[in-house]
Amino acid sequence: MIFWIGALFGAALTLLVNWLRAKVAVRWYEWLIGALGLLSGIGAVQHYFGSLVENEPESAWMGFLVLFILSVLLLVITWTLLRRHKQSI
Amino acid sequence: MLNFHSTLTRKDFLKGIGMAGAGLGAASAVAPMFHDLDELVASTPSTRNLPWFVKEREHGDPTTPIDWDMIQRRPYTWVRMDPTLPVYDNLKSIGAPVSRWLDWEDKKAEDEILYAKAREDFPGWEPGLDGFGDIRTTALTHASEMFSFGNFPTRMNLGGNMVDLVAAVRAAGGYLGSTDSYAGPKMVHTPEEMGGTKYQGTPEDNLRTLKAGIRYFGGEDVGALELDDKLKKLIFTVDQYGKALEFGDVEECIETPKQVTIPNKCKYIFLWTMRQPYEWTRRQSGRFEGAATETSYERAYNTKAHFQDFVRGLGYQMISAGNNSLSPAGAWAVLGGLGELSRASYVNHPLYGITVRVTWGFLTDMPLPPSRPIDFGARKFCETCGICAENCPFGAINPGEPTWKDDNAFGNPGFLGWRCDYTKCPHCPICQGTCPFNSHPGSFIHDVVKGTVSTTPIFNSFFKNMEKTFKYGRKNPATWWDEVDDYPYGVDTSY
Repeated sequence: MIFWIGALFGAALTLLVNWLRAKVAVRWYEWLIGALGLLSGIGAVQHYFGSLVENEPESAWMGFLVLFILSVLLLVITWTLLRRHKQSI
Repeated sequence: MLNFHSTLTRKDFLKGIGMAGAGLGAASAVAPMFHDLDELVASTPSTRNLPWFVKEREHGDPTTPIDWDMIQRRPYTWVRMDPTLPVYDNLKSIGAPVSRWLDWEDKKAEDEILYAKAREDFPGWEPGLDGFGDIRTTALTHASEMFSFGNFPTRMNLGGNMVDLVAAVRAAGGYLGSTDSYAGPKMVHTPEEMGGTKYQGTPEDNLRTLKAGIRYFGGEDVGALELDDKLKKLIFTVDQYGKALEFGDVEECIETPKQVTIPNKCKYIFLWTMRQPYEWTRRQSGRFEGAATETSYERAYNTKAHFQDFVRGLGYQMISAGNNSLSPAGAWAVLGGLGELSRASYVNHPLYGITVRVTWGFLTDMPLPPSRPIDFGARKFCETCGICAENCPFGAINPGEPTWKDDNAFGNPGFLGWRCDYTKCPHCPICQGTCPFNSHPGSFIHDVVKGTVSTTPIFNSFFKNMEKTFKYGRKNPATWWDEVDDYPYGVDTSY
């Protein structure tokens, strides 16, 4: 199960990266902020299910919210930077 | 001779130069490394298998500073004895060194404080029929006490008759009415008795063998020390049962009702841990420790007896009565790297926090390689944290700075640390469930936190606040019955 989730995720990520590189020249800090946003999103999901395994439902929700909001913020910043960047070319 | 061989494990290598060297490490890992089996054995991973965030320190230098000049051999003292404990009558009858025998009124006053604390922490909680909570919890707790501390029951149905096993065992010559003996049960034959020779291994082989044995019977982590003059100072002159502990040029351990003679050749210390069921540990509430603790003390004595006879079957001796019989339970464990000494006076293990109920040290004539003290930032964290002290309703845990001052009736001089005041501590179930290091490693966040804590203390205050905000720590006992699908024996052995 974990193997297939990882394989699908890896394929999706490869497609996303290739698509982005074809569309626009992504700057190093845009890669960095985007990657951090993505990691934060993955962390939110892992923390949620991991905390349920720990029998920590309050921690599961609170941690998910913190990491998920952080993820959305970072990805929105990345997207905004990319849009501005593309328009300026 | 280039690339001849390396005794450095990949783990140690990465620890030494940091993750940036991972690529280089991988390159060296695939290069030809060994030319013979001896080299391979020399390079196998350590018996300890410590987590990546744990650093080993020099021998004799734990994170708790020690002044050996302040330490002398001393007698064990029970600073209080509670009349509700099953061992109360037994200890009184054998003249155990107890400095204060509580009466029922003393205990009742303590119980009221504990009930108030449980009601405050868990709205709806009531002491129930016996001060442990609802009927399910009471039943679980009582059933966990069956052979606790290795004691035979005073009333047990055997073939239709209620039998007082303590009286029966004592009448038959069993001094304590317990399964516990310094030399173990001696129910198996030694190799010599069977016409063979004892197991012969290197000290490293021996420790690996003992680790396999103790884990098979229910223990977990292991370590070892060599008994030198300093470590000998930690051995009590008189044990918790009132027996004088002495060393002598004898072949085998000799135990009488008033004295134990330990062979001089038993100059190694085998250290081992056993975890307490985690989910119940943090749900225990009421007048005394509870089901998780009682169960663990039954298992530990059971493990001890099996293990001692396992080692006898190998041709060696493994000497100790349970608990604090030889020395303060945490001292050797800290020196041998089973954990760091915590504010609450428990040994704090890097994986299991203070849920290790047992950190016992046994004397043996089986040569063992000494293990080193460890540092994973736990003591530094305790300096900032203090959640255990905040939760103690009796003020028994020092909320302030570590000190050399030994003003505790238990008597524990010679280290800079926090001393639990055992004159006040009624062995209630609270502090053990509060420690942030107990966390189950489900979420990745614990690895991030433990890795950070082991490297720098500057986030410790933030992590302490997060521990409280995220509501880790103690839980309402009712949730165990209704929401938790616990592990067999209450222990997740996957970590």
